Amino acid sequence: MNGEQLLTQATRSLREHTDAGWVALRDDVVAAAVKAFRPSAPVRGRLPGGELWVASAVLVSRVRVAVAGVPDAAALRITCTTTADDELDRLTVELVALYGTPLVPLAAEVRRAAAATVARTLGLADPPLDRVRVDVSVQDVTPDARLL
Amino acid sequence: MRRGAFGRTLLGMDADEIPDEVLARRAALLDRAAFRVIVDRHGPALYRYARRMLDDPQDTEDCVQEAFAAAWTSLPQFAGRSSLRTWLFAITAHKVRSSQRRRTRTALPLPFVADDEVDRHAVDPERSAEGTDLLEALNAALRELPPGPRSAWLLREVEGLSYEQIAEVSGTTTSTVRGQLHRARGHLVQRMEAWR
Repeated sequence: MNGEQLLTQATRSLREHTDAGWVALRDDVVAAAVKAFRPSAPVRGRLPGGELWVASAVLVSRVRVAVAGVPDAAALRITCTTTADDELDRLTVELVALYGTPLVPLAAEVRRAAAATVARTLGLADPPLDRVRVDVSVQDVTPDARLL
Repeated sequence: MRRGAFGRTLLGMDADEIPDEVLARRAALLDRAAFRVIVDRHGPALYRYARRMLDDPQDTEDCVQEAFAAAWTSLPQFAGRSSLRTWLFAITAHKVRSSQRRRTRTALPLPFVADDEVDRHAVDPERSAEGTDLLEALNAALRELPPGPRSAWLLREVEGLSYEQIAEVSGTTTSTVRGQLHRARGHLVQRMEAWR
């Protein structure tokens, strides 16, 4: 074999190679990365005896889980808008829906799931859920269920 | 449908089948399980690249840790203009360059021997045959390349990025990438020839 052929063979070996260092590091990487702080605005909630503050990232995460429970749709983006007093002004859920899914009932179900989650998370279950403003926006449809 | 570790997975769909864009979108919404799949899918390649760029296990660990932490915090801003893989390589390459700059400030750099100055007998075939294999010979030859050509060669030949993607990752132009690849290939062929 000449130099070019050897290089081709060595390159193929390197392409298929996984370093032992990575195998040892993998679990630490995941644990350390997800501890990294994602800055997000606080949202004011309510407690019977005091104040409750929830990071908007936490609220978004919980709404994502709730929306994941609705069939034939997935959240693309979830955004919180707060007032000057850090009260939740509006929660917007942007969706991708499976092609052919009736959108109005789908949006209504997503809104219900998101609103209930916001209310639970911020202690707003009493007063009524109508106080939680949730907008649903269907941004995309896909025939490919893998993309949900 | 069934609910799984990813909040939503399709019946019978393996995590490996979930496209990168879906994983990135879910991880942006704080889905840790989706991020774990991203790490498993791309971590080996990012580590392989960083390890050969830094040639130090501890620096490589730090670099890859920092790259994934940066990816986790930046995912909400990932707009999908490039592929997730290219975006992750861009973050990792940036961390590699930072690490190399720190090293330059604190230690004397290893001298690079230009192609025309390479001692073709410096890689002793007998020694290579004893203690290392073909892969080790390639690693040794890569260490002799300066960072630019080394990075371009690794990204193109090992990781399969296009010239445009490499230019994006490296913050340079495709014509520079082309020149770096030409230089790297020439050097590596010469060294492998000597190893033979």
